[in-house]
Amino acid sequence: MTTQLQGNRPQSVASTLTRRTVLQGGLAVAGAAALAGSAGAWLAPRGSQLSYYKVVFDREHPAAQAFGRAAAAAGLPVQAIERDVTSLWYHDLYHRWQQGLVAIAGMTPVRTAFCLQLFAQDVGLRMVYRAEHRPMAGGGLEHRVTAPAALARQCSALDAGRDWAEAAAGLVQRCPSQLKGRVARVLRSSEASGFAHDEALVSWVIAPVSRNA
Amino acid sequence: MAKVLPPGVGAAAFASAVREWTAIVGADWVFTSDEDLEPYRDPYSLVWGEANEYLASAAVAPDTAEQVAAIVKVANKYKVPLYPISTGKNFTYGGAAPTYTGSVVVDLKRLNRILKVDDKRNFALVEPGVSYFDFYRHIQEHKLKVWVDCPDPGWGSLIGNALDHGVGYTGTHFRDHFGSHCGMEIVTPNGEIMRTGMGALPGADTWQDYRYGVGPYVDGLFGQGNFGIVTKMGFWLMPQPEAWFTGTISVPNYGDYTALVEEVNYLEDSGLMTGQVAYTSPLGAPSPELTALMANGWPSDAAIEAYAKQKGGPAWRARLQFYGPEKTVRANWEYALERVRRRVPAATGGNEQLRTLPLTPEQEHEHHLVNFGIPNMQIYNMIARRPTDGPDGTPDGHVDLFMVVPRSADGVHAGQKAIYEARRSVGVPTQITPFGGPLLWHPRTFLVGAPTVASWRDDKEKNRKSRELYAAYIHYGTQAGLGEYRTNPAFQDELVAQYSYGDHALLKYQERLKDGVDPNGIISPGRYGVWPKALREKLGKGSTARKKG
Repeated sequence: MTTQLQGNRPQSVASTLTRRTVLQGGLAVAGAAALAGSAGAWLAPRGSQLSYYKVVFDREHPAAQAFGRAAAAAGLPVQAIERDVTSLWYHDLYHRWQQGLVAIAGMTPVRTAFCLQLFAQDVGLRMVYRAEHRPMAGGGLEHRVTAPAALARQCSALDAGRDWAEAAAGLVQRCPSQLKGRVARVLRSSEASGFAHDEALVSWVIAPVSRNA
Repeated sequence: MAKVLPPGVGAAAFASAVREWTAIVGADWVFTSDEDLEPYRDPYSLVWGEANEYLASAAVAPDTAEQVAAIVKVANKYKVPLYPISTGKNFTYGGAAPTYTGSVVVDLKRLNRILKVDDKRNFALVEPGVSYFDFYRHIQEHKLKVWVDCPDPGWGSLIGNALDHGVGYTGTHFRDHFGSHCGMEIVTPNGEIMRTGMGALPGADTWQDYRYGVGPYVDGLFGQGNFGIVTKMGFWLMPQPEAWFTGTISVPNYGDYTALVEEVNYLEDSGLMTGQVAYTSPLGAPSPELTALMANGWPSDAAIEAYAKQKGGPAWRARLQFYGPEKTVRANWEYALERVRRRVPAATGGNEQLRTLPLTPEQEHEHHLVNFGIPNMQIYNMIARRPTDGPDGTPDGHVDLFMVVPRSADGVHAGQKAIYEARRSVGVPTQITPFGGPLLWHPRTFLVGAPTVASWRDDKEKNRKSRELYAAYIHYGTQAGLGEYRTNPAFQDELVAQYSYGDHALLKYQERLKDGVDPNGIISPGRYGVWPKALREKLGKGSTARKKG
């Protein structure tokens, strides 16, 4: 069997990019109204917070599991993964983002977040909130946060002892739909629990943004 | 991130160029703000946040080859350097960041058409924005009976990977991605659209069948090159095999390695065994005895032999892979074992496994998917759990180094010894032993890999040490007559300088070609050490630097 270009766009790879959304860093997105139209209910903020298509957690890490449980308890649509993002992206997010750009959130190892961020960038989304939770050599936990200003102001909630992962889920739930400003903060808390391997975890939000946001 | 302009181009002229590019591609596809340009930084950079970090001044994203040509003409008008990328995910080798700071990235992701896939003549024609995932999805959806040989991970571009001399994991003739290409379309530095091979013959339907056409074959200039922007490329594809078979041959003595490699070479070069080979040795398992063996410099052959005898057990294993009909892969495996036993009578076979293809979804979970032409992201899971160069936690990225070594036991040891000596020279734990196996990606050669060199976002001193280690690898490799097959932009000048035969005659020839076809030096200045004349003189780069010694 042979497949060959018949028209200008022979197959689905092209469709995402022909809507003049973005290609590179998820930064050149068409107007917010157009995006809201294509994304449907997912993009429409529930109140002043983002709504999520999926909240992802890596079940290998107790902290990420706690994050997932807290998100599920709050009624968010959680999705467990185990190390590898291939299936989540290839079978799910790829198709969903073809239909329209929707926000996702999660707690995963750094590399997983990195992969999802770059997949998302290719279709016009960007990581709008990122909190890297890194155990410190002397004990305790360091949180390196980059967030919209309104959310960054609430990040002291991460100083929640053993419940820091649940607190991280709470922050994600409160991520504003108006993604104004970008603030970096570093916080430290006393409990470094919930890490399955010698690697940092990241709680994150990937969402559509206006190019000038 | 500091805002940069193309060197030597004033703000007003640059603004004019941006306006003209905007007219070509539309405002949505020209990127100039800091936020827009963040994705064009190299996330694995070894100079992250430093004055010499590789940064773009802007990015522009065309949709057609004609738009690429128009962009190139504007760049010539304003003397603005361009840096084309495909999907920009070639991390460890620079990602989307330009080799020359201030260049405008020409982002080709929108050229993402799969133009033709033929599973009777077994080829494809694609644009640069097509990723391995895209292509795999296409052949699955259309039930095409071909495989795409993909690298780890699978989000890169077929064209980008091939042009960087990337490699994969299936059959011998397909793992070298540049080697399996057939035909290109290129936007030349003066803005013409050129096709190579049979593509130059109007009406020919053999562009992806016969690669040479007539006359000098120029495709090689575009691999790791800066002589044009490739906008289409053909690839030969592996027909979907009926079965896959693997088996492992073990030999008892350390010295049997030579015979094992030679016989496997025969099998591969004869086409009897076309899958990737993995050589391993149980003797490399950490132990106090091994630590003692490696503590005081590279051990002598006698010391290695004595250590191997003391440890006992099989010294080397070669895991072979076969593709083809069940009858032939089984027969070839039997012959492989028989042939090795002629040289090493005590050799044993084991770990045999046959899969009829395609794999079931359940079977996919049991295998290294790239051996089956299935792109994936699993490599990130492995890297994430491997602190790289000591107890420093998980780095932000890494830079790889692989030395091209002769396809022999002695060749492997030469590479290992060079890496060992390099690490000792800068005072990092050696890690390397004589019991690591080579990598068999390319046909006809081995690679020996160094432990990945870590990069960090928040520690310039660690990055400095990483750069020092990487430079030592290059240096010690050169001392042993070994060179790397690709590298990060931070080391391209240094690496190219090692290929110095005839007073850098090769580099000087490349420079003369560059000056001839790209007199304004606008395409990827400095990529793999080839700088245009003006920058050679201004920056003391290329052969100019070598003359100064």
